[in-house]
Amino acid sequence: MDAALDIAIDAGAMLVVFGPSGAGKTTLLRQIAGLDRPARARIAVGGEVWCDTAAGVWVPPQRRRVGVVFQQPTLFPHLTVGDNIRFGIAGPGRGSGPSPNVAGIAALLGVEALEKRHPRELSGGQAQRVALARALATGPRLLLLDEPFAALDAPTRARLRRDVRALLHATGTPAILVTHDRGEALAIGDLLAVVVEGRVRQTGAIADVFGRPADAEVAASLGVEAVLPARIVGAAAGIVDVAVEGVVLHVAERDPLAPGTQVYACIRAEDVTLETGSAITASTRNHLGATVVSISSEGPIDRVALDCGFPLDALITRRSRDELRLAAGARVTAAVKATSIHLVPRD
Amino acid sequence: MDWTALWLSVRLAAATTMVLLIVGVPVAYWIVFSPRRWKFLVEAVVALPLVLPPTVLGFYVLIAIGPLSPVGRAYARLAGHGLPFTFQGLLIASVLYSLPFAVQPFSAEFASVDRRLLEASWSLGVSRLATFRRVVIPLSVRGLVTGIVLSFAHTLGEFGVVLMVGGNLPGTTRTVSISIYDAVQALDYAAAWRTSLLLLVVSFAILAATYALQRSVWIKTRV
Repeated sequence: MDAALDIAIDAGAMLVVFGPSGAGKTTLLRQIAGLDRPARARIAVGGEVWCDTAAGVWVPPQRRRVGVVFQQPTLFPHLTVGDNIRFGIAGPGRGSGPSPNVAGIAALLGVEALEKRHPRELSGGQAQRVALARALATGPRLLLLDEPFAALDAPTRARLRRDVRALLHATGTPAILVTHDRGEALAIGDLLAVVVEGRVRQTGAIADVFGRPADAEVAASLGVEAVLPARIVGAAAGIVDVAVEGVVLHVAERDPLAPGTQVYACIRAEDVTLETGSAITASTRNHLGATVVSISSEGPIDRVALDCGFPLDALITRRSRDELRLAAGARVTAAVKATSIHLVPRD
Repeated sequence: MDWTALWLSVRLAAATTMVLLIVGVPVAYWIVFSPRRWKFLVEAVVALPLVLPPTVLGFYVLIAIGPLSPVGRAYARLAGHGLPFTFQGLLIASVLYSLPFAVQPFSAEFASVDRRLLEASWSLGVSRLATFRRVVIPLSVRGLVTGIVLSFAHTLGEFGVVLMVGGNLPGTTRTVSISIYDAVQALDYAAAWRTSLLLLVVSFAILAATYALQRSVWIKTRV
């Protein structure tokens, strides 16, 4: 993998390395952790060089002070949960680090009651929480997460994501997570690095990367949805109202979301229909006044870039474009069904 | 019953097992964790006693510790007597002869420890040696017990190597298997019967106890 990745991660923030399976994301993490030795690389974290093959510099994993959590919890089976969590604390070479609040970490992750249990007595979610507590107990300067939620069921995953974000903020630990799941990237990331064909193609704040993909391949790997930062402003009878840049959208959402919650509203371009002239009566909930910014051809389909107060794309057939007589600058109405908008909570 | 020979065999087996535990664990560690490409040569050397006739091994040990070798001469200068036909000489031969019976179970068990556990430990700041002590050893109890028991039982029953290196000195090098041979040579079948049966029962009991232990819960440290 050709990874030119030079990025500042704030304390408590999460960089998501997003890419398809087999792109070399796990290898990247293992090399940062010092578990794999790259043939040719330079790795520097916090001004400290950990690996420079040209200069012959190699810092072993023991002296890097990184926390690593794999997809599988990899707890020590012969030790109790408490001994697992404290495993790295007494070790030599840890003297200079900040002494972390182990009890606080265990409490935040909800594992303090499991102290006396053995790993085989834990559920998958509990085991992964213990693995996180163990990694954070040593006060790492960087936390590395390799698809840590992939083996968990959906409700467990959502809860654990929330707790991990809270924990990173509480401990001020910067983190790097690799995943091929864009929903996960959106739910937990602050920064995003997109890997396409073994190369890091774009890095930046997550909304910026989703909003302005650097090129068509990055856009394709991120999916065809518009990802819009939004806030819940109202909820009633299974419909929530979200504000995107001041424009209110109605969204059918089964799970209640409290007003004020930060979300991403995701809209697929093929779910956006265009109308001209006076509004027709239809079941569609959202009718947005929009200006056509540009039209580009994607085979038999045209992609119409719109400005609705926020950027939005619509995919329409060439025939529809001709019938609507669309051109850049034209005023149209963009219609989106309430069931076609997908919300990803941010916390 | 030749109690002197039996007691000598037990002492020899116990001493051999102790030495093999001290020597075998580092050798097994090196075989499993060394990145060296030529380590298969060391593995082959360790396994040699499995296929070599005991007389061949005994012959080379006899030469190696004898008065014509530098090792034998150095020992003779320090101790005042040579190694052949002594308990110490027997011990050296036994250790070599039983080496695969300790090293192979040890290394098989070390190798079966999930590598991700070692990586987790290293990432937590724990050195390779401490990781071996705190993770690999506790998870290899079965293999260690197997290696210890096999070494003990194998040494208890050795014959050819002992005869080559130790000879047949009562109380010093006449082990239980040689005493059985002597009894048969002297047509004392009753004595041969008793001692053979005892050896059979003891060997069976040791092995049965080991396999039973490996099934029990307290030693099952693996999930």
